[in-house]
Amino acid sequence: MRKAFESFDEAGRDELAKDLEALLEDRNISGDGTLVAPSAYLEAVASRK
Amino acid sequence: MAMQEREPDLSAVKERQQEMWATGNFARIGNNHVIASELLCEAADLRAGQRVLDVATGSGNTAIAAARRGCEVVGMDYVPGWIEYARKRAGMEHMEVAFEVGDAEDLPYPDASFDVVLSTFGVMFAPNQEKAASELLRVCRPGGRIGLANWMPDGFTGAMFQAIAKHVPPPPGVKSPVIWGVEDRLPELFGEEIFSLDTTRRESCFATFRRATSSPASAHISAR
Repeated sequence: MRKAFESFDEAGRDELAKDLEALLEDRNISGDGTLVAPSAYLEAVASRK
Repeated sequence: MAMQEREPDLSAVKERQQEMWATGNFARIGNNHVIASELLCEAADLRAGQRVLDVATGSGNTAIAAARRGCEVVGMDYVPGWIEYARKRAGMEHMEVAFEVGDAEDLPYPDASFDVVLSTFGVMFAPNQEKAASELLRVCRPGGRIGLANWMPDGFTGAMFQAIAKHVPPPPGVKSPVIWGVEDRLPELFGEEIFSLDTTRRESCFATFRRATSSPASAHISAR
């Protein structure tokens, strides 16, 4: 069950960290050294029959 | 290439998720999104005395927001550590919220036992989406409401999941959680069991972390 994590070697983790870093860079609107990353979500209210 | 199995081993997926949620400091991330819980309670038009279930309550944000409105609330999650944490938070506000351990795909409650069923960035992570949706419907009374806040694929969180999936492909047969954030997906999941669906696109910010040293933000967020 933990195969995915176990097979994830250090190089893989570094690659992922790099991609996430790039994403943070891309989405960060703070304009300073902090992180402010707005994340879109769908708010939904359904009425049950 | 072999065809995808019709029934992937979702219990293994769930077990791995539980371990993952229990390891990171997810409460700290969740605390960034209290606003989504408060807004969801407003959108669901909660009234004092209503019986409310918060599915996959995590650190208790939505259960506590509902209790602040005088509702009779049950908060449920499959990570026991979070249930303890949520209980302490509610205790600090002197509110009686029943926090219980349970599975979103097999809710430990009778049919039609809640007026309102809520989930904020919670039920969307259940590996068997159809089963989880049918459970939301089952425990909600006729005429009751189901309120959800789900990350959208094109938002920051959606992009983050895509980046992670590139490196750690999701198990075959498991749909992406963020399709719960696609408007057309909800009628698919709820079918003929609902008579109305109101949706609003909103944003909630990840804004806890300073970014200067050793990227604590990416360390935390990658775990999610």
